[in-house]
Amino acid sequence: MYFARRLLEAIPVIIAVTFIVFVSVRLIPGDPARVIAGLEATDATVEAIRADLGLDRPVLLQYVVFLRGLAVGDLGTSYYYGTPVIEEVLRRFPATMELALAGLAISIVVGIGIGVLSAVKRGTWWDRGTLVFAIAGVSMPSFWLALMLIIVFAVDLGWLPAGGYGTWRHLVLPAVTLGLFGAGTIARLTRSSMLEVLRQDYVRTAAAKGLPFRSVLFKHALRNALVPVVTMLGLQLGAFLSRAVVTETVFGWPGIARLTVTAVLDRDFPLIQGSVLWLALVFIAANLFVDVVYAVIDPRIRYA
Amino acid sequence: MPDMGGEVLPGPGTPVGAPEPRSVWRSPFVRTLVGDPWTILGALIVVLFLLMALLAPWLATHEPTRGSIVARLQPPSPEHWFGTDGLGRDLFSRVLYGARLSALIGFLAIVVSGTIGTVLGALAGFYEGWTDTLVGRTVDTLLAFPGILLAILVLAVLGPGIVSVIIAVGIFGVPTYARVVRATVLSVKQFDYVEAAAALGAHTLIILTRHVMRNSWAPIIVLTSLNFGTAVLTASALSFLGVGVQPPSPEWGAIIAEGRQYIRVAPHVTTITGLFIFVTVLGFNLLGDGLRDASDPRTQRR
Repeated sequence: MYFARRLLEAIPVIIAVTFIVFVSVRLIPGDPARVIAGLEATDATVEAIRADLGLDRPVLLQYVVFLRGLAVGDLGTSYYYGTPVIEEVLRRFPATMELALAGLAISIVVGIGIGVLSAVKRGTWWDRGTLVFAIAGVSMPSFWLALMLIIVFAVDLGWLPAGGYGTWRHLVLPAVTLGLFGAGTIARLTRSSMLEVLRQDYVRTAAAKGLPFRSVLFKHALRNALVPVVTMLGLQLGAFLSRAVVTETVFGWPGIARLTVTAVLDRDFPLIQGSVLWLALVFIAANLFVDVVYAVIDPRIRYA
Repeated sequence: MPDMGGEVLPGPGTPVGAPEPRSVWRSPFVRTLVGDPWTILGALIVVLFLLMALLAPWLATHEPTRGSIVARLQPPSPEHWFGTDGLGRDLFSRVLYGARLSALIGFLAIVVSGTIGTVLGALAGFYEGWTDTLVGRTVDTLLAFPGILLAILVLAVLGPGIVSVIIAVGIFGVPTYARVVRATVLSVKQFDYVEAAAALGAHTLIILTRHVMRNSWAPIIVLTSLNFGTAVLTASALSFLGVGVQPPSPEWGAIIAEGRQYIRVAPHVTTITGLFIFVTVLGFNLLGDGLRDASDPRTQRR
């Protein structure tokens, strides 16, 4: 029921997103027909290509045609690659997921670990160090962190490749670049959330009835402390994907984020349209997923 | 038993009530602000950054866009404090002018997002009903584009350049302003004095500007400090990706994108320039956090 409502609420947003992407791409200066035809083409050729692409029809009609194509997974043909956009998007997407999940795993494990430890060791140098680590994490440009990691681990030490895709060795530096950013924010929130929960009566009761400290910490405190952390993970997904765009570009990672940037640089309109739309839809889906996880962890949400 | 921390922070039931008279709440605010060394450090960094930006033409030792082929990729030296880049340009001077560009872009982007976001948020929070729904859907749609993607899309439409980056980064910041202002207005609106003003027959616009907005500034200032850092970070990332400010402009992200080609032989170009982005953003974030703690009654030092 809760999920159905959230899904219904997402529909107008999805329609608005398709409209914005469609209109934006048509606002891009330059005539796609002329781009395809090349500099030497005659006006007649350009006209023919324009008619072929359906660009001579009214814009609203073009939008309807675009939506109809979208419904059957047809996102047009890339100017640059000459292949269907959907193929290109689907071919690149798994690499992005791989990087994102590896980065997210590092963020969660490192972030929650450090956060719990600093809540327990509240007020010590470790705790203060966590706060600095967290704020440094969000302040550091990810492309710079990536280049520093390349200088140290690829150029100087020669332990890992400076870029490319294929083995786990290629994944380490990009995943760490992405993971460190999230880890700081998660650590900080886990810490404050744990401190909040550790003050609650039921935690004191659990401790008072003689349960081992470890059990109180993980069973009673951490589980409840994670509710705001999950919410924040949802809110951070956007920032996380921003960093993924930059990270993929630095490491030459063949993901969809890099595809989008090169499409903008190549003025490949159908590809810009398709990849931006795909990323936005994935993002909306991810947020829905977070909402559901949230509702599972905290039953109060479902009845709100 | 670990320290549960119950004695420092007040319990969840502590009333966070209506604004108290100015003279009373001002002192814990200031005391919290100056009592935290990290906030002071943040403020210092921000001041230094602004000084760099303002005084760049006087502090620079060389012309930032003129290079000399014989002086390519030199490491830091007494002649070139930060060394030179791939075209033999003085990196110290370029970084200074880059601070100027970042400050300009950050400031104007904040003006764009602050204006649009505050108006949208204030209207949504004040009128509620369908205005709120409409603003809410607009913000949701903007937020449906993950992070920097919206800025990239805007830059695809507008083409690269400083003005485009300002608009792109500005639009990028609209949702956070709209959300925070809406939430603040919603809570301020509940206070008796707002109801009293309405009962006395004050015009809606007067109530909104004089009574509601005037008491909503604290979160907006905090957000501005945090958003300034984000704006600097986003602008440099866009330029690094090649869709933002273009070389030979000494924008920090653009300098790093150029320096990246020589990362094996001259890592100082990327290292030093990135350090400046990092420290600048850190400064704004530390200051923003400090301001937030100082304006939040729960974390104030009394």
